[in-house]
Amino acid sequence: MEALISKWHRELELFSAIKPLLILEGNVLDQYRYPVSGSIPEDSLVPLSRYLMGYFADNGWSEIVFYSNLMGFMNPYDPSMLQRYAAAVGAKTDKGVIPAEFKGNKAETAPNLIRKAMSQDRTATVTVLELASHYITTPDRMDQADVNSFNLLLQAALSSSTVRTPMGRRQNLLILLVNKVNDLPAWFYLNNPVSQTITLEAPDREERKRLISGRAFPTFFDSAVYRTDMPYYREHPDELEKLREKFVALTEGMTFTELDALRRLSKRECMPIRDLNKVVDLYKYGISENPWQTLSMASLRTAKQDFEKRIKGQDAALERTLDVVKRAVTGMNGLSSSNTAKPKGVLFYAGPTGVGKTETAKALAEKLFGDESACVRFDMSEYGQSHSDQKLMGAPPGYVGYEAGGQLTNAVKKNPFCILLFDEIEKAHATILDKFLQILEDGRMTDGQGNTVYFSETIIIFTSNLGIYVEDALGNRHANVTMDMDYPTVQAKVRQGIEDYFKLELGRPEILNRIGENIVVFDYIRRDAGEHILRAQVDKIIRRLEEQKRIRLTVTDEAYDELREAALRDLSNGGRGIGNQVESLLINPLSRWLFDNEVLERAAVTVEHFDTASNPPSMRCRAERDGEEG
Amino acid sequence: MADNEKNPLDNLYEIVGDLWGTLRTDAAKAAAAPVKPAYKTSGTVDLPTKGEKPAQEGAPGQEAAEKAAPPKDSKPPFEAFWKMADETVDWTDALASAMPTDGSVTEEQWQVYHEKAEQVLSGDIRAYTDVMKAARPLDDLKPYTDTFRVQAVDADTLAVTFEALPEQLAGTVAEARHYLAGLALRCARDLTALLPVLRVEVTATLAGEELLHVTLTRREMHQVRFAFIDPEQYIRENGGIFGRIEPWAMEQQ
Repeated sequence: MEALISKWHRELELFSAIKPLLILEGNVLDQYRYPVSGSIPEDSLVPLSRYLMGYFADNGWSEIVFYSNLMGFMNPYDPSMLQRYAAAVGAKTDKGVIPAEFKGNKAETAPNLIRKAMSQDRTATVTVLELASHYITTPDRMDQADVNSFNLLLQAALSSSTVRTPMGRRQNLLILLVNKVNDLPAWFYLNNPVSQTITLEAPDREERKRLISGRAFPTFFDSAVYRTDMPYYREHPDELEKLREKFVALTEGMTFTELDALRRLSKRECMPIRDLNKVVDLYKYGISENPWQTLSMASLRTAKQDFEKRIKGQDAALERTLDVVKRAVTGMNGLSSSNTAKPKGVLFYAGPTGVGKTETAKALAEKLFGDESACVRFDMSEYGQSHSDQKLMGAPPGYVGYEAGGQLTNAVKKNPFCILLFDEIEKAHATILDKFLQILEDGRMTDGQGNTVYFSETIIIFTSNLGIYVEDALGNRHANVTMDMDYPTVQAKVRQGIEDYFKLELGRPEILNRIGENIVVFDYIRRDAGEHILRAQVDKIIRRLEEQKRIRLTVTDEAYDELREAALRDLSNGGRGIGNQVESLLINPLSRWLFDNEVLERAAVTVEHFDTASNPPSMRCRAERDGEEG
Repeated sequence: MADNEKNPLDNLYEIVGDLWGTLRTDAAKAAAAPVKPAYKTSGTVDLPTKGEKPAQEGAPGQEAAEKAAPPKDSKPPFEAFWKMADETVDWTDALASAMPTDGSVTEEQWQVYHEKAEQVLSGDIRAYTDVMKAARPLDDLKPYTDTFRVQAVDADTLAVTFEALPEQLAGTVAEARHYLAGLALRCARDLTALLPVLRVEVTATLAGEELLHVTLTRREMHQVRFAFIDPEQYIRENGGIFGRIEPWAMEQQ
């Protein structure tokens, strides 16, 4: 198999030949795949320091040492190199290290020793400064001793000599490993002709593919699994290729250290080759049985009918919601994107108040995960401040509330298979919308404590009343849609209202792009749907009275007509409005009547008339206690 | 092969532990313990053969070093013996890795390891036998019996038989079963750690009588939390059948 050499490795090859000062920034704490066999076996995953040791040793440098301000100079891989380095700079070793402080400009400080190593021309040296981000507290507030230290390093780079080696001329090198280049003083690297910054990225698609296809592939499996499973996959290489492709897609954004953890986990759990990708779930969520894969198809086929029992008059919205679910279940949600680590689905529910948006989310949670509590609701009106993102994602170290973590990240950590419902999203502060962008795009988020949380098994639902009202030039609110409009008109006007909000008012069209075509507009509760809702609510009250009080409630047809006329008179507040009317017209007068007449249990009660015009509303009833007439 | 000849697979546990990504430093290399001497080769593997010199005590590698040291007492305690096991020999690592450059293995040796890994992973029974002869995975169980006989039934199955020591059965019946069950578990754990077999059939006998027969699977041996099980109960739950121990054991509480 042809060697696959990463971009940063090529830059290292190129610039180590021409520049004496290299700054490696970015993913420096990760492991890396060694690309060619040499002093390290090809495709091995090794820490960056081991990688650099192997690379420079294989390419003609003879003394390679690593410095950290806590330990001094050392070489855990080849201590003899440290001895020779010490001789070259006139220092002494003590228990396998050359102790040296970083600060200051005294003769025995590390920068001075490095300057000596860089300027001598007897042996080709590489000095690697590990964790160099931490040598100073901040580049903006350096004391003179810190400035002197970096000044000496700069002088060391400027005075670098070249050395004749059996593999050609090599220059002495100084390499700094930093998290971000701006952890260093700007004057050290900006406009510095002898320095080069090389950025280390997380493994890209090709690197991940290589890891699962190259020499490392057998090491993902227990010996017995590999022995028993491989004969089949040798006969069916196309199936193996599909498994590998999926693995590559599922591990988007993972570091090499995480990939190595997957490899070890798969081996430890004796995962069969066919279950290669289950190890990703096991790693991310601690379970290997993904509820998405155990969903009952039969149950999903009847989902629409089941939903209609709970949510009335929203055929189009339910259809659109179920489309997203079907896409997730069939695994087609990632087809239009290279990133399958994104959430399973994103829905943006818009529409008037009380039309069933939240109820639909709850019904969906029950259908998918067997429990309404799998719908985790966030009231976004509580996140209207600019610092509210810390409530969701967790405060950074040193801030109040750091230990508690974030409400969102904690919820997903606790249950990664859930529906996240962000109610009234337009009330959240704009900084939170930026966080959502990352979740929608990458499917992952790192909380304040540094734990990565994965959203790839969630469905994310935003609800909003955007587009229902609009503001005129004077800031006055006007209804944008009304009950007398038909659904297509309501849908078009609400969609337009949402687009205007994100594009014109918020100035963030990219958020709208992430939501894509997943805006679902709920219709007003129309008269026929209202009747269904009313009937369902009255039936529920009758059932509860029977169960809890043994009171058999009957509403005569005449009385029910009176109730219906009053309850459905104004449907602008949707199902919630009908509920309020039922409470006002039926529950309150009924409880008052039962109390006044001491009918507290075991009776048959008939409502004969509603007086909806009186204040408060009242009713006429007759009761028949079990065994007597009242 | 004569006893004094060097078997290239001698330091198997040391080298084929976890190669991939675990490149040892000189310090770690220096800490590695001496390797086991070569072992007698013959058809099936009898561990050990009469008259053969005993193996060196102590196994190389940190994990192996944590194994219980064989007690000198003629009636060693069994409380925790079955909770330990040999380090797993990682044949897929051996197959996929390039030769370590830390000096722990010569190129010739590595060639043998690589070939052996291919043979073992293809289910070659002869390779299994070679590996067992070199690694002698049951050597540290000698104080409990010195009569292990291991046979590769097929690529998936190893059969182990051993003769129980009468003195180990001399206590109560419960103690005798504990001894047999613990030893069976250790056999299965050590053998599944060494070879990619799916199951190990263990049979314990004494004077021609079968005292225990059980088949233990690889998956169980790799995943059960041995610290929390009772060996006799575990063996029973996995279909193990104990024979009559009473003639050798004292019925006492």
